[in-house]
Amino acid sequence: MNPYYLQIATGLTVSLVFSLLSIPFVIALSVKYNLVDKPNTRKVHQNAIPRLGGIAIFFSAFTGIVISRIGLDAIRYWPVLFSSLALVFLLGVWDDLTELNAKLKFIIQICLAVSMASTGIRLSSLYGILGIHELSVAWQYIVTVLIIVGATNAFNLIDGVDGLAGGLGLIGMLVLGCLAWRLRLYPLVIVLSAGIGSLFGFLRYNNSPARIFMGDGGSLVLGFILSSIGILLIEAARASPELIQPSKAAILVVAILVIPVFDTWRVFASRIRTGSSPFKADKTHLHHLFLIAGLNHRKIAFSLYSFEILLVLLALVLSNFNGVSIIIILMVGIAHVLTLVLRVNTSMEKWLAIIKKMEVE
Amino acid sequence: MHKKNQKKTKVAIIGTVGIPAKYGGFETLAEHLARHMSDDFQLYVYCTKKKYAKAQRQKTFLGARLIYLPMDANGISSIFYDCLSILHALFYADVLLVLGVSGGVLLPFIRRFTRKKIVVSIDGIEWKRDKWIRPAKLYLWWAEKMAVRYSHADISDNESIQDYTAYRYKTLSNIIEYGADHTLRVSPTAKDFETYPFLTAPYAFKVCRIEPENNIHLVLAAFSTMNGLPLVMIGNWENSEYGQNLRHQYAGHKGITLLNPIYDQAGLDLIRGNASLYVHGHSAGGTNPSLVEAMYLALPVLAFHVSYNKTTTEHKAWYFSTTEDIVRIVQGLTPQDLMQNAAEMKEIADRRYTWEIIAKKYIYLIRKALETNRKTKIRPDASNLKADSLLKMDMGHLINPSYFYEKEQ
Repeated sequence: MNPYYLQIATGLTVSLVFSLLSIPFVIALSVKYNLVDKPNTRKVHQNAIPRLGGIAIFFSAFTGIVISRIGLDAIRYWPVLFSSLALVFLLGVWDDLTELNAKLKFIIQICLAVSMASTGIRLSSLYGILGIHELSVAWQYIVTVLIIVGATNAFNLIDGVDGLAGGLGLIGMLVLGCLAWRLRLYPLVIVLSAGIGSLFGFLRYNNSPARIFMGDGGSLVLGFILSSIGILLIEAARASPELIQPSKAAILVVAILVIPVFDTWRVFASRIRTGSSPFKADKTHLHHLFLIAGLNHRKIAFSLYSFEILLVLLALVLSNFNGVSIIIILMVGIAHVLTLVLRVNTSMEKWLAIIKKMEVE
Repeated sequence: MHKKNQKKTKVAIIGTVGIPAKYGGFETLAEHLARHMSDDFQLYVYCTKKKYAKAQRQKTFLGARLIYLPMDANGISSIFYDCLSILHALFYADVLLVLGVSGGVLLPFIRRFTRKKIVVSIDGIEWKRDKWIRPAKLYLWWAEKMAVRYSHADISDNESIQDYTAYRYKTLSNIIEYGADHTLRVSPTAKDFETYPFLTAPYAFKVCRIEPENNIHLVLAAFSTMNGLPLVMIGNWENSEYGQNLRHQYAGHKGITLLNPIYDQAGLDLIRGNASLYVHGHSAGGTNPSLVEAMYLALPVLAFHVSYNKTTTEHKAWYFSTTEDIVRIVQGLTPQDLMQNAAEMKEIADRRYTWEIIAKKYIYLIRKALETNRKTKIRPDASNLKADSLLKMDMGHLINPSYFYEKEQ
């Protein structure tokens, strides 16, 4: 038997139990000190709900990691990665408590991504995406920072429906966990399984109707961990391609990030096209479009989980036959068709309201 | 107009169940177009084999050639039926007169790659109707856009629909309603009084498909509380749970008579033509043929309060939104009111809703489409000039023109 099974199972169980036990405590404290998210016109929930779930997730996962020897090894091997994670977490919690300036948030995130890239966690090749392979060092930094900052904020923005960001993050960690296992990076497997355990516990309370949100302290960390460990694993595959092809690892990482990243990119692009600031919040994200189509939170979350699983399976199967570019174009194409249908639906609903008004005039 | 030896323009009429008309508004329209347009154009009408048994099929009818296709013309398969009709018509026709938007998916290609002229009647706002499932609504919503954008001319049957297309597409739709002079004035015979004892006294009348969007529940609820005027209503009660429930609830009620559909014109017109008040509950579509027909039969009209019904009746009928409205209006009616309203409705119908007038409008529109390559936009071309040049030319009002659909508040 693999000697790591026991430690991995322990990490998973400990973090799961910890988050199940600590979240009610966080809810009670938040209510007591009035640290709740009050509904506004853009938010989709009706009641004031605590949004410090990120704290419980982070500390449950942390406990699950440090309880085992190889978990501690992980922190020892990649100190900058984990200290950056801790700083992103603090940044998120800080933002949850006092709305932070968006520019400042970006600058801090970029600094953290750069410092991580400087320790070697950076993409050295695009593995044939858009026909690009090896990257020069300058481009390695630029691409890495773009991916990490992009994914971090994309997860933050998709966190608008109960269970959505948590579930997508959980599926993503599962995929990364399998990759890490395949690459025999057992310390990372521990880290990811601790994350899975604590997210699982969190989802029990975040499922619709949610009793707690993960807040920026959760969603920023999720995006950051998925993208940075994703890059780390792609580079590990490059070092030992006999375990897994680096292009296959790259496609799998794209598959778990594509939903939030594509959606953020689409929303930003359309805001720029219409001449407004890309950071001006509105109700055009994927989950808003689903809500207009009449789906409830639970259905939206499950549709998008299934969609992400479909993309992962597609990536697994097709990477045996096809080039990287084709698969990524296909994934983005599917996401595009889905949003197109939803957008047609949204404008139809808009016109329905206009006509109703015209009819009674 | 045309010399004898000159070849007539070939017009294909697409999107109906077929002629001779046995069904709804578009079929009746196609039949009367065949009657009135065959002198000017060579017409081809597409019919479905599903509704015309082999023995009933004809080569020509009223001068129009008939072409039979094997699909159903209603429901989802109407999309394929319309598309196949359009593709078939490409082989010979000069003008495609497409009734309904479900073939809209093909129009961009036809506009780009052929020189056929396309005239589309967009009917009511089909994508809004409750009878469609959501994917069908989405398709129709998009197909309407294609149909309006890529046709040479489009037809609305009501001012309110014209407002809507102007607002959504910034193009000017042509209003052509329906005719009603195929209805008959039928005097009851002794036998009719036996079959329909209610004919002896005044009664209110309503005929429609039994669907919630026709507000049958409101009308029945109102008449069940009134003692005065009884209600006679014809509809396909057994087609839906909604209808069965209503029939179950109101069938035995004194003052309410519920009848099954009557498919011959004389039988229907006997009951409807002799009514004292016509109740029109339709809330969907534009100009409803049944309302136009009632007006032509000189019936006073009590209609549901939506813009389509108000424009059809030129704001001169009575309108209701609730059960209480119906009770209040009906109880306040005097014989003089009814007579005066009947005359007003008849005047409108004689002026606007005869097939000769309708056919003339179609002929005019087809001729216009033959001569143009461009759709009528509602935005004046001059408005595309730069604002300061417009100001210099004293045409500042054209910088932001106001449009007819922007009703005064």
